[in-house]
Amino acid sequence: MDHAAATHPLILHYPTSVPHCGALGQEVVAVESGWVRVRQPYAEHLLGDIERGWIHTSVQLTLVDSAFGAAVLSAFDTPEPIATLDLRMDYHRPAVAGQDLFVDARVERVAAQIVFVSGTVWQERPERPTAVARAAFMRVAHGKAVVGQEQGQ
Amino acid sequence: MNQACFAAGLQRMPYARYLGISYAEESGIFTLGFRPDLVGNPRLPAVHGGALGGFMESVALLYLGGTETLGRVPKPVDFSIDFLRSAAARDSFARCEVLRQGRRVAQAQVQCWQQDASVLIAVGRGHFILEEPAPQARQA
Repeated sequence: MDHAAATHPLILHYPTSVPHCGALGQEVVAVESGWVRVRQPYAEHLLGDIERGWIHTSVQLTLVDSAFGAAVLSAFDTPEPIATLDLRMDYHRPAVAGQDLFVDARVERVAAQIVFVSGTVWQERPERPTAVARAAFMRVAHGKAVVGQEQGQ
Repeated sequence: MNQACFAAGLQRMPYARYLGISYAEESGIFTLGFRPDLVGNPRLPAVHGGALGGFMESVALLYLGGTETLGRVPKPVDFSIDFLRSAAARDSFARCEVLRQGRRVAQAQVQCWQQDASVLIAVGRGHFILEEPAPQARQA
């Protein structure tokens, strides 16, 4: 990550502009136009199965929802409000205790009213995802109807 | 599902405890109590979509784990959420329904609302593995 990337507004303001992400300790570690990598540091309270030592899949879901929103914002020249229409998670393998989670989120298509995003959650390396995800966002200011879960500006 | 099964499920699932999910046996309704650190957008303010999605997925896991007397947490295969309305800064409620219960896999769906149970703010659906394959069939 170069200096310019480190001072990107998404990296600087992410934890404070999205309180839940700040509470979980999530941080944007890299940004390009239409692409972000977000880190979720490991913590014991993120486990979903203490007997098998697995991180909760819902932690991955939350990480994906946040990172996808950030990826959409990174694709815009000027900030605009967005709302998540739907989100799908496929859990390929368990995320194990003791290791951080990363998500790489990529904007697939910016259409007039909708933005399509896909991404992978991983621990050791991106080629070995714990989850693969896909979502559609509505560009709220570009349509009359406001539905769904509005996110940051 | 009785309260003891819910408590046992919660014990195995620290993240569901962190979210603060509670359950009422008489109604079968799960609650995500509002907290400022669950907010995703401070300007509205609105509950974070991921926190809401995590609540709904956890409800499916707790419900399936509690009614199946598995003695462990079901393993999610996939989970999809449709966000229908913005989640305001107040308590959210959910109930789970199992549409298909196989021996190894169950399909469950979750409805989520806030003030009015007939005005849904989100729906979720997913598949969950209830039973591990035999050791010789298991892959790394």
